[in-house]
Amino acid sequence: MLIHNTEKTGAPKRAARALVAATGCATMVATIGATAGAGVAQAATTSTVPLVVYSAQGYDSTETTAFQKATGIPVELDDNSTGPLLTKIEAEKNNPKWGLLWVDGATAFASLDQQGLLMKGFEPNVSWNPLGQKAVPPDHSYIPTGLTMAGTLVYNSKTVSNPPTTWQALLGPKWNGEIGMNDPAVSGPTYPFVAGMMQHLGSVTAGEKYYTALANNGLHVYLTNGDTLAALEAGLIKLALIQSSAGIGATIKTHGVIKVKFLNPVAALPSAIGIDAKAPKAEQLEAEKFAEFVLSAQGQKLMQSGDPTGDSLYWPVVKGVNALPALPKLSTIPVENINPYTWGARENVVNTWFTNNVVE
Amino acid sequence: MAQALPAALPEELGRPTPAVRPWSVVAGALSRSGGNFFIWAVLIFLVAFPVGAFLLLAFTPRLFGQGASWFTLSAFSQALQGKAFVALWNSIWVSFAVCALDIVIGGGVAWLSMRTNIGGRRIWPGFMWGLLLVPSYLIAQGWQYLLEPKGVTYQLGLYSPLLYHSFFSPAGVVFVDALVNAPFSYLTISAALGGLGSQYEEAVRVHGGGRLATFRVVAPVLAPAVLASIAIVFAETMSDYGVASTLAFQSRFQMATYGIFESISQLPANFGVAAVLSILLLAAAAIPIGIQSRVTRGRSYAILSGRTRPATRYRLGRPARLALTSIAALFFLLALGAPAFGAFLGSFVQNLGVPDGAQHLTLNAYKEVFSGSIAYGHVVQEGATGLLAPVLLSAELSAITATLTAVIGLAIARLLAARRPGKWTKAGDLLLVGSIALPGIVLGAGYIFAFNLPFTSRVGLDLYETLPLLVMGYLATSIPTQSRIMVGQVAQVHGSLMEAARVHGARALSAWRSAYVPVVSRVLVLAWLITFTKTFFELPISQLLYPPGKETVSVAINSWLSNYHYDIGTAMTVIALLANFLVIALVLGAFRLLAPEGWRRMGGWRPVG
Amino acid sequence: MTSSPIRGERVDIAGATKLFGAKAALAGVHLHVEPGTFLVLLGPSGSGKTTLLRCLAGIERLSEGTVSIGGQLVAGGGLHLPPERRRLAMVFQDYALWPHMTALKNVMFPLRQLRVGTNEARRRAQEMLQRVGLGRLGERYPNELSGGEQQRVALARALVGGAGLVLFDEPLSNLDADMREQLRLAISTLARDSGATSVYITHDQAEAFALADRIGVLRDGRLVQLGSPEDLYRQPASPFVARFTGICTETPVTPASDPDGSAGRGAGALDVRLPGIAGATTRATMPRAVPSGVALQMFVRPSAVQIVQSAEAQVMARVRDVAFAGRGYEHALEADGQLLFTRVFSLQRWPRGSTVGVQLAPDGCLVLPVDPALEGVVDGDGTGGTGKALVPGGTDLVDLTGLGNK
Repeated sequence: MLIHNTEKTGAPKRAARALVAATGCATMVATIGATAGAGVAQAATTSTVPLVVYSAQGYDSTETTAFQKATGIPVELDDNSTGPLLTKIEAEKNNPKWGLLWVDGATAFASLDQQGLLMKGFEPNVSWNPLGQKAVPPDHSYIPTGLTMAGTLVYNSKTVSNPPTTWQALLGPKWNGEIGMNDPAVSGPTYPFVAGMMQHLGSVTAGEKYYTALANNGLHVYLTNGDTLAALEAGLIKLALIQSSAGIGATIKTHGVIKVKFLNPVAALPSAIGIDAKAPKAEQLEAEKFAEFVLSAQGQKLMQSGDPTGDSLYWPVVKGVNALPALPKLSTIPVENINPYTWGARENVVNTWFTNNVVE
Repeated sequence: MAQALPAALPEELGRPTPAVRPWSVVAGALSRSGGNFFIWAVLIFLVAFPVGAFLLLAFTPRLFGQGASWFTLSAFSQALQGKAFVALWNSIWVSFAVCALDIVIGGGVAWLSMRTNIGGRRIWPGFMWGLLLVPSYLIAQGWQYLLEPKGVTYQLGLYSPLLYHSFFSPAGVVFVDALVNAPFSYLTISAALGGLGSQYEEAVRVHGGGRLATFRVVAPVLAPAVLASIAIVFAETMSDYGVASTLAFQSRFQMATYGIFESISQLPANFGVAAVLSILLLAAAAIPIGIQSRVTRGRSYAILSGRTRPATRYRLGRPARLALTSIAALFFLLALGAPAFGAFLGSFVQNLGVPDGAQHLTLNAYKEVFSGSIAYGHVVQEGATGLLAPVLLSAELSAITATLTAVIGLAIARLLAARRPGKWTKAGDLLLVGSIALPGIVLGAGYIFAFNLPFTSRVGLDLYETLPLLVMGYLATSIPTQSRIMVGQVAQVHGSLMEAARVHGARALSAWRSAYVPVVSRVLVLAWLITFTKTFFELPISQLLYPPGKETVSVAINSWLSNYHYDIGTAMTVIALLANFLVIALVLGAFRLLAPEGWRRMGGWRPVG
Repeated sequence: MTSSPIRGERVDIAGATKLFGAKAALAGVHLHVEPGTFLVLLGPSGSGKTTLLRCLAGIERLSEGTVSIGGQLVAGGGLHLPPERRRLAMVFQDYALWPHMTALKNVMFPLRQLRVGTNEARRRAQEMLQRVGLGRLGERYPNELSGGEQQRVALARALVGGAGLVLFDEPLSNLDADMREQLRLAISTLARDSGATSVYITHDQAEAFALADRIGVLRDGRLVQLGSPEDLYRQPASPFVARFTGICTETPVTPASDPDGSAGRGAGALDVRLPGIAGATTRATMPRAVPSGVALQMFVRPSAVQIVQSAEAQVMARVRDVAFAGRGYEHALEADGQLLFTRVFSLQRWPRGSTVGVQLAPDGCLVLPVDPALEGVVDGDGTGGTGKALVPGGTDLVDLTGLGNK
C-alpha cells in the first residue's frame, strides 16, 4: 500500500507529504482492521459463532473448507505447528480463544485434560474400529481421528542394506553416530516414542538408561521430524527415528529409496480432536459437529487426500475406512499403546531429563 | 502580509493574567511534554506492558491463570538448576565474541570504504545493507548446504570433515551470528566515522605519530560508537533464536533462548521458568548498556558541524589495495553468496542428497506455488490460494509496520540522542535494548497475556488474534532496534535546524516535514526497508498472534516445511525473498527518482567524498 | 530597494524566569526594547543571554514572567505562542541552514511560510541574496559555501520576510576574524535598514559596542545594566560591568579626604589615594552615590591612561612590554611593582625597562563599591542582585582588556 503511494507520487516535492499520508493510511488500516475484527466477533454472537480451529494437520484446510461448505458454519483456521498451538492454548488459559484443537499425540490431550482445559463427555455418533475403541479416553475428553506410529525407523535403502531389527541393536558400534531423532521437548510426536520405550522397558529409569546408552552411541538430536528427515536425506545420519507418516511420505517421494521399519514395539501416536472446555456452548456444539464430520465417510476421504505424502498416511479409527495402500497392514506392526494420562503427567519431568542428559 | 492573529488575546502588560483557562493549561502541558509523553506511552504500551506481564509470571503465576499462587519463587529454583547457567553463560560469551568479531568486520568495512581508496568502496556499504536484509536462518542454512557431507562442497569434491565439524561447533555459531549482526556494527561505527573528519588523524601525523599512534588516538574518539555497536550486537545475539535452534542445537551447544523456548514448549507450559530465564537475559543485556553509559557519560555525539571538512583517504599501495579489495570481495561473496546459493539450490533440487540418481533440478516447486495446487502435486486443495494471499498480507502488514516504525523510531532516536539524557530517557534506553535481547517468543507470549484479558473481552475489545495486535507485536520488535540504529545518525543533526524553521514561520508539523525529515530521509528510507524485510520474514510473533485464517508468509512457509514439503517451502522462501528484493528496489528507485536532489545529498550510507 | 522598511516591534519582557531543574538560568529579567532599536545582550557564558533569546523566540518556555512583542502577549500566564506565531526571524550561531536546500531555497523559506507565491518569493530571495553579496551563489548547497557565506545566507533568510523583530544568536562566533568584521558590518547596516527591532547576543564587548544602540549586560540570569554603549563605558553599574566592558587596571582606593571611608558619598568627582604607591592621589569619578563604610575600588579605562613627561606625572611607572599596534604602540606599565596598566596607548615607542610618567584622566577612573550586595540594576526595575563573589582580578584583567578596546 505504501509502495503504491511512493510509486504514484508525481512531483518530487510531494514525497514528504506522501510519507506523512502513508503513515496516516497505515494507522487507518490498523484501526479499520480493529473495528472490523470487533464487528465480526459481535455479529457472531447473534447468529452462528465462528469455530476457531487450532490445527497442525497437513489436511486441516481441506477439511475445514469442506466443513464450512457442508454446514455453513464459518471456520477460522489457525494452521500452525503443534508447539505454537499448545503455547497459545497455555497462554490463553485466562481467556481462551480457541474452540477446537486438532493435533497428534494423546499425551498432549491428556495433559490439557488434566489441566481442566478440555470439554469432557462428548461421544460422537460413529462406530469405532478396535483401534479407535482403544484410543478413546474414559472421560471422553478428546476424540481420536487416526493413528500413526512414533519412533518409526526410517533409513536410506541405498546406504543401509541391513537395517537393525531390534531396539538393542541401535546401541551397537555399527550405528555409532549414525542415528538421529527429535527433541521430545520441542517435537510433540516424539514424547510418546520416549514414553513408549520407558513403558516397554518397565520403568522410567530403565528407559533413561536406554536413551543414555543411545546418546553415548553418538545419537543426533534434531528439532522436528522434518529436520531429522532432512539430515537423513543429506546423509548426515543413516537411521532416523521419526513419526511413521513422515517416513512413509518420504518413501513415496523417493519412490521407495527411503524405507521404514517398525521395531518391536512402536508406540501408537493417535491424532485427536479436543474441544475447549471454556468455549461458548454454541461453539462447542459446532466443534462436536466438526469432529463427527471428520469421522464421517466424506471427512475420512478428505483426511486421506489432503496431505498424501504426509499426515494422510494414517491408520483409520472408524469402521469401513481402509488405510491408504502405501501403509503396511496394521496387523504386521507390533503396536504399543501407552496410557496417555499416566505418561502425560510425566511429560515435563521426562523431557527435562532428556534435555539435560541426551540433548546436551 | 496578513498573518493570523494568535487565538489568545494579549493581556495588558505588567499585570499578571488573572484567570487562566483550564484548557489552555492542559494544552500547554501537552504541547510542552506532549511529544515525549506520547513516545513513552507508545513504548510502555507496546513493549513494557507485555514484557512486564510475561516477566511477572516468574513470581505470580496466578496472575494470568498459570498457577495457584500469587507469589512464589519456585520458578527460580526450577530455572536455576540443570543447565540454565551453562546456557546463559554460553549465550553471554558467544555474544561478546560476536561483538568483538563484528567490530573488526563492521568497523573494518566502514573504515576501508570511507577512509581508503580500496576498490569497490561504493558497493561494499550496499552489500552490508544487503546482509542486514537476509534472514538469519537462511545464512545458517546456506552454510549448512555448503559444508555438510553430500552437500555442495562434497559434490564439488571439496568436502572437508574438519570444516564441517568446526562449523557445527560454538565457533560456527559465533561465525554465523557475527555475519548476521555485522551490519549493526557497521552502521553505528560508520555513522561516527562519517562525521569525524580527519583532523584528529592529521593532528597525530603532524606531531610525528605513526599508524599505531593514529589508531590509539582515533579509537577513543570512536569509543561511543563502538560501545553503541557492542550494545546492539550483544542484545541482538542474545535474543537470536534462529541460530540457537539450528546450528547451536545440532552442535549440542545450548543457548539461553533455547532454554526459554523449551520451557514454553513444555506441557503444561512452564512460563515461570521462561520468565526467570528472560530476566537473566535482560540482566545480561544491561551489562554493555551499563558500560556504554559509564564511558560515554556527558560526551556529545554531535561531532558534525558546518566546519567539518570531508575526510581525506589513505592511499593504499598497489599490493595492499589489491589484497584488501580481494578480502572484501571474498568476504561478501561468502557472506551473501552462501545463503543465496543455499536457498536457490534447496528449492531447485528435489530430494537433495538422496543418492539414487534421482537428483535433478526441477521447477516443479515453483509451478506449484504459483498455480495454487500446492498439495504436493497430487490433489488440488480446495480453498488453497497458493502463496499469493500470504505474500500480499505480509507485504501490507510489513509496509504498515515499517512506516510506523520509521516515524516512531525516529522520534525515539531523537530523544535518545539528547546530549544530557534524563533519568527517564536512560530507563527508556534500557527498556529498548532489554527488549532487543528478548527472543520473539517471549514478546509473543507476553502479548497474549497482556492483550487477551478477560475483562477487555467482556467489554467487547478483543485485540488478540487480530491484525492490529499482530502489527503491534511487529512494532514492539522493530522499534527498539531501529531507533537504536537511528540514534547515531540523528545525533549528528543539530536541533537548530528545526528551531530555525519554527522561528521563520513554520508550524510544528510543517517544520518537522520541511526542515527535519528531508535531512534524515535516507536514514528513514533505510529503517523502513530493514523493518519491512524483518517483518516480512518474522516467525515467532506471527505464529502466536496471527488471526486464524490469515496466514503470513512466514507462517505459511513454516507450515509447509514442518509438513516435510521442503521444496515448496523453500520455493516459497525464494519467491518471498524475490518479492522482498523487488520492494527494496522499488522503494530505493522511487527515492532516487522522486526525492528532490537535496534530500539525496543527506547522510546515510553513502561514504563521504 | 523595493521592499519598504517595516516597523520594528516593541519588546517587553517582565519577570522572565527560566528554571532548568533547580538551577535558574534566568532569574527575573525585566527589559523593554523600543521599536527599531538594536539591542545587544552582553554577558559571559552561563549568564542567561542565550536562554533569554530562546525564550524570546519561543524555542524555550518561560518558567515565570511574560513576554510581549509589538504589544501582544506571546508568553506568560499559561500562554506560550510557538515561535512561528511570534512573527520574528533569527540568525543562529551554527547557521542552521537546511542542508537539503540550496541557498536560495533557504532564503525563500520564510516567504513561502507567509504564502508568498513561488515566483515572487524567488525574486525577493534573490534580491536579498544580492544584498548580502551572494547573488551568484543561490543554487549552491550549504556545504558548498564557506562559513561566512553560510552565515550571510542565514542573515538573508532572517531579513527577507520583513519580520519586525530579528534575533541574533552569537552569529559571528564561528567565523574567522576577517569574516567577522565584514559580516558585522552587513548585520549592522542591513538590520537597521530593514527597520526591524534587533536583539543580538554576544560575549564580545567590542562586538557589542560596535553594533548596539543599547546594551544589556547579563550576569547569573539577571540584567545588571541596560544603557547606551557610552553609558556603560562611562558609568558602569558595577565592577562586573566595568570589567566586562574593558579596563586596563583596577586597584583598591580610599577617599583622600576621608581615609577610613566612614562617610557616604554622592556621585561625582572624588580624589582618591592609591594605596601602595606612596602619597599618590588622583582625581576619579564616582558614577553613583555610595553609602558609608563600603570598600571602594577604582577601575581604569585604557583610554584614561596617558604617558607624560615626568613633571606632569601622577605616578611613575616602568615599561614592561611594548607592542606595535599599527597607528601607534600599546604599552604594559608597572607602577611601584604594584599596579599593572595594560594597553596604554602612545604614538611614540617607549623602550622596555624605561621609566615613564603616567597621568590618569579623571573621567576614565571609575570608583565603585566592591560590596557585591550593592551591585544593583541600573535602568531596569529589578531588585539588586546578590551575585557570587567577584572574580578576582589577575588573569581576568589581562583577558578582558585583551578583548580589544579601540
